[in-house]
Amino acid sequence: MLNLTEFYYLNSTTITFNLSDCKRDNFIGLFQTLKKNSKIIEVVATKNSMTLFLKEAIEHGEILDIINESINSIKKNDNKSKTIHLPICFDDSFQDDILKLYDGDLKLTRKFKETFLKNKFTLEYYGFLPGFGYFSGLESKLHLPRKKIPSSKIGKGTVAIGGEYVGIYPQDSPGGWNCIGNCPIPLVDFDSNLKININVFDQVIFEEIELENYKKIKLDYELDVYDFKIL
Amino acid sequence: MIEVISSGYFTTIQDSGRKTHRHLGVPISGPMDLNSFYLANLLLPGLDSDSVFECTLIGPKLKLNCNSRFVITGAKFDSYLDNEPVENNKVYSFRAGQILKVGRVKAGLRCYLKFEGTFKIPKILNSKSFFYPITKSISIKDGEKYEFISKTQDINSKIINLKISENAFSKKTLFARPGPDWGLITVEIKKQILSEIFFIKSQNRMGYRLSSELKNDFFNLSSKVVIPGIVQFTPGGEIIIATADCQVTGGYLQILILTDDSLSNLVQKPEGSEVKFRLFDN
Repeated sequence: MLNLTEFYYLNSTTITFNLSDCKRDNFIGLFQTLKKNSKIIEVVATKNSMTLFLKEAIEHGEILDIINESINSIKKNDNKSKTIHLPICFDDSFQDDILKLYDGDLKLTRKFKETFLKNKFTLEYYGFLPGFGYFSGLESKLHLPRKKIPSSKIGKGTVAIGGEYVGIYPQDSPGGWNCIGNCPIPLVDFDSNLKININVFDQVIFEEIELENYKKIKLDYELDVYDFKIL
Repeated sequence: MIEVISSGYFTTIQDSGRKTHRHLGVPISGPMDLNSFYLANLLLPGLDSDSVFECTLIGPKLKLNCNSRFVITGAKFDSYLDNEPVENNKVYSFRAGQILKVGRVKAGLRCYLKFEGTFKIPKILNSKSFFYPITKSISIKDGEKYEFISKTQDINSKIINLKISENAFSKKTLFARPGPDWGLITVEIKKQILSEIFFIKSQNRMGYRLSSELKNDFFNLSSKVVIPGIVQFTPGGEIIIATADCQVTGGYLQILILTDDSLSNLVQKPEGSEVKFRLFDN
């Protein structure tokens, strides 16, 4: 069962609650079930908390009922998430803070990246910028603290490490994360029609590609002929 | 049609905001000063999708190529309809060919110019509010033409004029409720936060930064949802108050939440203004 604690009303229609000691499957199941509730506009889940944005203010008792009913109706299928392969390119033309970290030592840099490629990531939530995803699953020896002085420009598509998280910059932006490579596919496509390529709680494995293939994939994606590799 | 002769310092189009895509990291946007936005909508009632110009510091000069009405609320700008001075909170009628010039700000920072009708601009993710790069525009630009559908039935109908106290923005005190992390900071810091006077160091549509000498030791908090009005306390001792275009999540201590009135009051203050916090008991 879930241990619901510390309800906090940010305003009359925005409620954050912590979920301590909550099993992963239950957390995901609750998120998926709450999302379907007609009284809720949207649900934002972060690491240990969920925030409900309600259509209109309702009694606290009713909110508890909604959450409890949602817990009871969690279906096994609700937390079935996909594993998607995302291309990543380590070409010299992309920003590389790992190389800097190892003072230009190519061998150590390569080893870091090879270890990175073995990790399986989970998209935990979106934040910071539209379409900036926070991925968990980075093994602890690859954790890198955020830079004290942020870079003034991190390029669109940059895959970067911030503490225990991996993120992909959806647009050029100042940022304090450590750049490792570049992904030609956006997680969310806000152009023309909204297209969500990676959903919250989907799993991701990065697959190394060469620059030539990077350009091809980017073009394929723009022409809407790119096929995602989904397991 | 409304033609932008000059765009002013920073003028955006805002409706009530983008309330459906925060789960993808898209800010809510919408007007900074919701009270003034609501007032404009009260004086010229319209649909929720009707949008306003939010003008900052220096307003735009517009050629009005239709017959309709408008109202300006919020900060007091030096404004003219042709040569006639325009007062705030008063509904004016205009005819095609007239020029509306929203000049420099005299008191406050942001005003809301609402026309009686609808701008024919596309909704992106359920809102017309400018937010780059979700919308192509950051702000309106010189020479742009906005197609506008007037809903005015009778431009000679009775003119409404509402008198509102002029010093509404000059209040230094911001009222706030304890935020989710208020319990995590020491009594000493709480006392300082509630007694010191802070200066506004910088501001934009994302937030207001206040200078402070305070420090805290919470470097690695997990991220939580941030909404406009949340007062964040960074490890470096900075106080950042989230406003309309704020990030959807953030990892700073959330110490206070401003009341709606105080948030509307804050966003009318320019850099260098003084503010102080007081707990609001309801």
